[in-house]
Amino acid sequence: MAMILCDKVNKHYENNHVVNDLDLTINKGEIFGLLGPNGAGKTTSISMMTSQILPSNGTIKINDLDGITKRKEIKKIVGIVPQDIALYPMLNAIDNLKFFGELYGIKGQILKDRVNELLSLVGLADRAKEPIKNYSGGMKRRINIAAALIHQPLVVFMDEPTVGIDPQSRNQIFDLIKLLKSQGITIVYTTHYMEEATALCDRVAIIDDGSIIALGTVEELVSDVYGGVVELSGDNQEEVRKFVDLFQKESFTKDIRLSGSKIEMVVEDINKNVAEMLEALNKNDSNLKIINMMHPSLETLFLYKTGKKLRD
Amino acid sequence: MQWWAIAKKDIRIMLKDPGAIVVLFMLPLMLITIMSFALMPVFQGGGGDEAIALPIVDQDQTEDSIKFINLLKDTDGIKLETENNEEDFTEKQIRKLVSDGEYPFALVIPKEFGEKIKAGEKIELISYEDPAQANMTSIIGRAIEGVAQAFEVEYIVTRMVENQVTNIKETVTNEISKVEDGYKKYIANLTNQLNSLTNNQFEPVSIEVDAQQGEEPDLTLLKDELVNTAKLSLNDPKVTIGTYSASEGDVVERPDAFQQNVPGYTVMYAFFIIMYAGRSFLNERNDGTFRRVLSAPVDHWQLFIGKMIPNYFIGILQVVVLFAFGHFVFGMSLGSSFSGLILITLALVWASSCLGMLIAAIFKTDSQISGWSVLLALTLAALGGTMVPLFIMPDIMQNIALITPHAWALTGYQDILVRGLGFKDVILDGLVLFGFGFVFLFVSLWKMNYEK
Repeated sequence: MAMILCDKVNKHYENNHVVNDLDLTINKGEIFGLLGPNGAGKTTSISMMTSQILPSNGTIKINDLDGITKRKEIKKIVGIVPQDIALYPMLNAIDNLKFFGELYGIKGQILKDRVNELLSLVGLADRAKEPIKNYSGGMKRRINIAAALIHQPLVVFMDEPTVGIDPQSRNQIFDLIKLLKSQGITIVYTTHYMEEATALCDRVAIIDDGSIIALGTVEELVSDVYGGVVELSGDNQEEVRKFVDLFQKESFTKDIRLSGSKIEMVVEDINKNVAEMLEALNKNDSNLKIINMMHPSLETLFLYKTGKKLRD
Repeated sequence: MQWWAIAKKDIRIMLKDPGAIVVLFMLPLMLITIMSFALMPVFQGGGGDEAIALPIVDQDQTEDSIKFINLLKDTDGIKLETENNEEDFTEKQIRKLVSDGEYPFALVIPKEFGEKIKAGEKIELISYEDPAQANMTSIIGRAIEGVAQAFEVEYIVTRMVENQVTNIKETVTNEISKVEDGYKKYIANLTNQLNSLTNNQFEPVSIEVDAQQGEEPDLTLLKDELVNTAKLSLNDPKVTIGTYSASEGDVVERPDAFQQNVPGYTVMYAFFIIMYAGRSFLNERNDGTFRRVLSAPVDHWQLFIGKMIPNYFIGILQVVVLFAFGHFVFGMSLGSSFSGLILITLALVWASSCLGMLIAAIFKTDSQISGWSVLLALTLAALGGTMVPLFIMPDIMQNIALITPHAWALTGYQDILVRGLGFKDVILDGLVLFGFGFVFLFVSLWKMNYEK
């Protein structure tokens, strides 16, 4: 059952098209990974899904609530964990959580209980009265997540929730996310760490230039690059073109493309096929060199699909 | 009620910010205290413990010089010092004391003082001044000039009375001589008539009328009485200048330094809140909390009100603290209308809070906010008369001052604290301040961009 539905959603500021025809369905209780390089349109897409900004056109539905006419209702069921530590450093954890709770109309004993529950959940009950500014990076990240859960949302958007923290804190956050999933909460997870997306996400979408360029489970996406990607480069453009034609006819080539003086090939089995390619190059006395061999992974797919590393 | 949650949170944060406490509370308190004590003699004219010490050397040591010194002693605000370690000052000593800056002013009564006064000749007192303490020396100089004039008047009156007494004496003596001569002639005539009637050889009867027989009239008492009357008139003039409120006619006390400084610095520092209002928005934007707040079901107006209320609350607290400090610590009078004071305070803080929202809406970086806030707060304060009194500014500057909320607030406070006016007299000042606030508010609502 769909928790989030985006149908041909666009967002543009004057002539700058930030999101183009975004079609997306995210199911209830799913951990959905949203990957893309900086400036790809992830933040704008999330801002529209969380009713912070309106789309220029298209339809957004969150839990069947219309993203244009029911913005206030949507905000009540959505939680956001921003990439920044969006907390008040001079205030302690209790005051921070209470403040965000009050914004959702929670008060009195219910608020008090919820604050205590969340402090226990993120393992910070004993440091709750210290100002946030005294916390370590990992502790701040955990309170940052707790603040998004104060009103018991149905959907939580997490934007890089593990940036700059130690492995122990990262594992605690992973456990917390899994716990939320077990409670039926839908999570939209943005990250630059492919291993996180691989470990956590049920499905992943890769977004670039405002459009989704790949969507599916990690296994499905990784299978798009079959046995891996090989990159070759040469000085002679004519020779490069000749080898594109040559390799295109090989049965191990699943996909091939020319990018300037560089050839990018998706192959069936990288270890076996590279040997065959080297043999062909030697036989033709070619100056082309294999410059990169990438085993099948989400990272390889991302690079192959976007031409950019995830951190670009 | 989300606005209240936002307001509570911002008040908590601001009260935990030591920088804000220093600038909004400590700094004006320090300046009020220092400037009020520094300017106390100017506003109160000295007196009591605040009397200005004046070393004096009497080289004449005559009845007249002592009389002059006694007049100086009776002058409020001046404390005469004639000796150091039980030895009389010398001219050389006091000159050095002044040149060392120990005293702002010293006075020498020269030797021929009494002699020249008696002869009605001009006499010059010798004074030494420290140019570095020009304010003090001008005050003491004027006081001594006043005493010298009083002394001179007294002397003139004495001489006039003495001259009058001499004239009266001569007139009376002449009149008595005339009467004596008349009687002598009259008796001579009578004697001749009697002799002719009796024709006998009796010795002629004669009556001696001696002008000296009756004592010369004693006018010393009259003279003393006249001199004393003149003296009393000088010391306790019958015609005095009373200070009245121009509109009400109530006698008002002379304003003290705190009544002058507390409203000035209060108005000036009330507008420093604009820096914190701007920074409060900026920090929320930079920290990402703004986005988080806006992701909650909070209306923009609730956010706006919630961000504005803390500025208003802190502004009111600031005024209360500064006025309470002046009143309870230094005994400053709270003036003639407490309700008027409240009206001006509410209107002043409204104007400053709204200007703070305008700063927050227009400027987006820390350097912009800091720079423009300080520039606006100080420029408007200077134009509005919180640094230099409006009445000494040229007319054009006084007109320009009317475009600043500072001038209206300051006038309102002074009307109540110093001029003795009431609530109805400051309604216009209050309304103008509220008007300033609404203009700032409308522009800030127009310029505020919640999405960015």
